[in-house]
Amino acid sequence: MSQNKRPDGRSLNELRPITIKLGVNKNADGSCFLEWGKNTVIATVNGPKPIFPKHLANPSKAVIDYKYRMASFSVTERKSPVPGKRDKEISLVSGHALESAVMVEQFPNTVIDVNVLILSADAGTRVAALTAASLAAADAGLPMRGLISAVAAGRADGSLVLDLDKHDEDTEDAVDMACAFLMPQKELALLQMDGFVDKKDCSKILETALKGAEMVYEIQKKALIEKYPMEGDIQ
Amino acid sequence: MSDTDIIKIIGAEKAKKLLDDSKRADSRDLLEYRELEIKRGVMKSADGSAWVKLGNTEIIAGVKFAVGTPYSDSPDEGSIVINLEMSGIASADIGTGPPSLEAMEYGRVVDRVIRSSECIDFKDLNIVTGEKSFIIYVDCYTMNADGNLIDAAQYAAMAALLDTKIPKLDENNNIILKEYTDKKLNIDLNKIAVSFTFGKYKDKLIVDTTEVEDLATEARFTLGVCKNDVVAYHKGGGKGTFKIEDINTIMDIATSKYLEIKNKICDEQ
Amino acid sequence: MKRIVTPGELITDKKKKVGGNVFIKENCIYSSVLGILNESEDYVSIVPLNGPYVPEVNDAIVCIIKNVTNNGYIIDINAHSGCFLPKSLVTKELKIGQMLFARVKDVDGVDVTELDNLNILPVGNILVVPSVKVPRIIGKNDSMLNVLKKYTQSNMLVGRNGWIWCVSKNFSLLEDAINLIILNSQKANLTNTIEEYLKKNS
Repeated sequence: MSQNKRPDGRSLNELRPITIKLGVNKNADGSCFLEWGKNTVIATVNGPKPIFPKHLANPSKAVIDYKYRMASFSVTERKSPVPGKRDKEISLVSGHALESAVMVEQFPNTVIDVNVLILSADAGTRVAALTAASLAAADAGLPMRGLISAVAAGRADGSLVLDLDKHDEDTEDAVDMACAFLMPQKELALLQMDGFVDKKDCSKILETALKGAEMVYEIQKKALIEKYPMEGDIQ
Repeated sequence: MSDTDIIKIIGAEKAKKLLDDSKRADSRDLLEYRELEIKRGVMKSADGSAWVKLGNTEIIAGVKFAVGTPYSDSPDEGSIVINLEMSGIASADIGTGPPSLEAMEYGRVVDRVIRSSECIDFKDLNIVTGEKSFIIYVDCYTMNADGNLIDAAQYAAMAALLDTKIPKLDENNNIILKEYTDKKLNIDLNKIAVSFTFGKYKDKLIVDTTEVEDLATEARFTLGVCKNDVVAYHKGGGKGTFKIEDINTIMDIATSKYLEIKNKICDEQ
Repeated sequence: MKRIVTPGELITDKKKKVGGNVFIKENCIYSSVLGILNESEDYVSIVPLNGPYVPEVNDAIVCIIKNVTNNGYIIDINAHSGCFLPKSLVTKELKIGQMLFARVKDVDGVDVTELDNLNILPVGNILVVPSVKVPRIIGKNDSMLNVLKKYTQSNMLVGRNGWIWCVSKNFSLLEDAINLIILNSQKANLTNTIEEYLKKNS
C-alpha cells in the first residue's frame, strides 16, 4: 500500500460507503436494508412474542433468537443454504451482543426473532449484519439502552487498518478483529479476532475499532432520524 | 407483538365470504393476476439473478455454477438443482423451528416445471464425458410471503437463468472464480415453461392467491405450461379435491395466459 | 422544540420529572427508544415512533377470540401474551375469530389478567397499527378520529392495543389515510393535512 491508500482508494482509517433503508419489509415489526461496500444485508426483527416450545421460555427476560444466514449466491463459491457451524457461532455471539442493548428484562417468557440474511458478501459480513440488526430493533421500537455499532479493524500489509475489505483480509500478515460496541456507552458487546499480534498492537487495533464504531454510530443515528422528517409534505 | 395469525384467520374468513360472491379483497377478478415486476442482474455476486415482485410477494433468485461428476446413467449431461428458502424474513409467523415442509414442496414444484420443459439441454452442460459436468444451482429466497410463492419463485428462477453467464474454466476444468466467458447459458426460448397455480374454493377456481386466500382455499393445483403443452402437474395444498373438468378448465386458462407472462419473464429490459 | 431521539441518546443531566421511555443513569436522563422528545424546563417525556403494546389498566382494547377451552376463552390482545376469559363472564357462546371491545381491568406486570366491559362486535374489518400511534389516530378530543370517520363514512372503534375495528363505505381510503398518519405522526398540524388529503380523495 503506497501513500497510505488502499487499492479501492480508501485511506487506512476510512469506512467503505454505507447506505441504509429502514422499514423496507412491511410484514416485520422492524427491518433494515443495509449496503456496506459490496456487502448487502437485510435484517428483520419481530417480537416480543410468545415463545414455542414453551420450555425454551425464560421467566426473567425475552430470549433473542438471532439467525445469521448467508444466501447461497452471496459468496464467490456457492454456499449451502443449510446453516453451518460458522453461521451458528456468529448467530450465538451476535444475539448476545444485541441482548446487551435491548431491554429484554421488560418482556419475560417471550422471544424476539432477529433474522439477518447476507445477500452479497465482501468481508465484514458479521459486523454489517449486527449493525443492520440493531437498526431493525430500533425501527421496531424495542426499548434499548443504546445501539450496537459494529466494525472490523486490524492489520494489513504492516499497517493498522479500519474496515478490512477482501484485499486486506487476504494479505499475509492480516489480523482481523470484528468488534461491536454498545453506543453511546462505548462498551464492547462482541469481539472476535483471527491473526497473530502483540498486545500493544492489539490495543491500537481496539482503539481504531472504537473510532470506526463511532463513525458507524453517527451513520445509524442519522438514518433513524431521517426516516421521520419533522417538516415537509406527508410521504 | 403477538402471534398475529388470528388476524390472518379472520382475513381468511372474510376472503371466503367474498369468494362466495366471486369477489376478492383487492377487487381483482378470480382469474386476474396482481401487478408483476421482474428485474434481472440484481445480485452481482451471483452468476445470474433476478428479483420478482408479484403483489406483495417478493422473491430473489440467484444462480451459481459448480463442477461435479455426472450421473452414471447420463455421463454426458450436467444437472440443475432448484431450491426455495423461506425464513423469518419472509413472514413474521416463521420463527424458531425446523425449516417448513411447504418451502421444500414449493421448491420441488418449481424445479419440476423448469426441468421438464427441457428449455435447458443438459448435454450443453457437459465438460468431460463421464468425468466432469456443470451443476447449476438456483436458490430462491423469499423476501416477503403473500401467497402464490410457487409462481413467483418459478418466474424468478427462470429470469435468473436467462441472466446467467457461463464461468471460465481453467486447464483442469475447474471454475475460475469471478471470471466469465462472454457466453450466456443456452436456453431454448421456444421451450420456456411458465407455472400457473390455482386455488380451489367450493366450485371456484382462483389464480394468484394472497396469503389469506391460501388459508381460505381448500386445495391448490399447479401446472407448468409451454404454449399448448403441459410439462408438469402438481396437486397440493390441502384436503380439497378437483374434478377432471376443473383440470381441463385450468389447462385452458393457463395456455391462454401463457404468452403474456412468458414475455414478461423473457423481457431483456 | 420537538425532535427525534434515538435509543441511548443523552437528553439532559438536569433533574427533571420524567414520563415513559427513558432511563436514568448517574443522574442523567437517556431515551430508551426511537421517539419524539418533549422537553420543557422541568419535564421530559418521549413518544415512541413504534413498539410493542404494553397493556395498562383502563385501556380500551379490541380483542379477538383465539381459542375455546372447556371453561373459557383464550383471547388475543395483540400483546406478547394473551388473556383468559372465563365462560362465566360472558352471556353468549363465543366462537374463534369473534371480535370484542373490552376494558383492561387488571394487569400483572406486562400480562393482562382480567378484562371487563365486554362488548361483542359485529362483523367488520380490522386494521392493525402500531399501538404507539393510537393516540395520534384518535387526536385531541377525537379530532383526527372524527375527520377519518366523516370523510370515509366509517364507524370505527380504536383499541389502545393497535387493533381498529371498522365498518366503512370507503375502506381503502381509510387504510391509506391511516398509513399516512403512521408515517407522519411526528409532523405538526397533521389533522388538517389529513383532512385536506381526505377531501381531495373522497
